[in-house]
Amino acid sequence: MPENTSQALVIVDAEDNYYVLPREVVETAKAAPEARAAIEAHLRDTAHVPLAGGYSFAGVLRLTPESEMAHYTPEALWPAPTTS
Amino acid sequence: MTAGAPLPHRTTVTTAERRAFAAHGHAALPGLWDRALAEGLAAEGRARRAHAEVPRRGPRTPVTARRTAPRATPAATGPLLARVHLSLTGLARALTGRLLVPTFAAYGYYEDDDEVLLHVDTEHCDLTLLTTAFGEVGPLHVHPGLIGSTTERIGELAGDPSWDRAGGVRVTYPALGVTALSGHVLPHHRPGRATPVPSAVAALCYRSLF
Repeated sequence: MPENTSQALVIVDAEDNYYVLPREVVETAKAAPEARAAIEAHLRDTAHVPLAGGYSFAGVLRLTPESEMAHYTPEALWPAPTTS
Repeated sequence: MTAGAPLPHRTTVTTAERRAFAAHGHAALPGLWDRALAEGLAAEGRARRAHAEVPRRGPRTPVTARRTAPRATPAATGPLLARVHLSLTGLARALTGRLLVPTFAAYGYYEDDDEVLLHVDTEHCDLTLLTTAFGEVGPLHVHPGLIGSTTERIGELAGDPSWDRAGGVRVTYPALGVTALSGHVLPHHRPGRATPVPSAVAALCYRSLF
C-alpha cells in the first residue's frame, strides 16, 4: 500500500458495517513469498477482484482442522542453558 | 477434572492492547478468566508437577563456564491448559493481526529459584502468552535493545557475571490473564530470586501459519 496514496483499506460486510484496516495492520499481515502456494491451496473460490491502490480481493481463506493443528505438539518445550 | 471446567470468558482484545503489543512487542491482557479457571489451572499445574521433566527441546542459551548456569526447568503439559490454549487462538490472532495457530502449552516449574536465562523463544512462539499458574514469580525483563542479537551474543550476556540483570523493561504477569510477548523476537530473562515455595509459569505458544 503506497504510503502517500492510502492510509487504510476499508471493507464492508453484507450488513453495511465498515472495517478499517490501517496500512500498518495490512503490512503486518504480509505473507512471505514462499508461502504463496500454501495460501493459494487454502483459498476457496479464488477470484482477483480489483479494489483500489493496487490491491485485489483474492478470496476467503478457510483453514481445515488439520491446518489449524499443523504445528501443534503435545510435547512441553522450555528454555534451558547449554554450557560451552 | 477438565470436562466441565470454565474457559476464558474474554477472547477479544481492546484497541489499546493491540496498539501496545504492536508498539512494544508485549502487552498485558488482564481479566481473561475468572477465579474458578485460575484455581483449575493451579490445581492441574500442581498435579502435573510429579510428571514434569526437563524438555528435550526449547530455546537453548549457550552459557560459558564463566558463570554457573541455573538448573534446567522441568515442564509438563495438562488437558485444561491445552483447552485454554486452543480457546485463545482467536485472541492471539486479533492481538497480532496474523493467522496464528497453536503450537504447544506447558507448565514450567521453579523449585528454589525462579531465574530464566536471557533467551528468545523458538520458532514455535511468534506469540507467547505467559501467566503464573501457582505460587509467585518475579517480573520478566524484556530487552527491546537486544532485538536481532545472535544466539552467541545472548549467550555471552547471559554468561557474563557483570551483565546488568536488573536491566530491561520489567513485565509483571497480570491477575487472571496473561502477558503477551513477541517471544521469538524479543529477548527476555528473569533475574532470579529465592522462592520459598514452589511456583509454576504457564506458557502458551502460537506461530504464524504463513
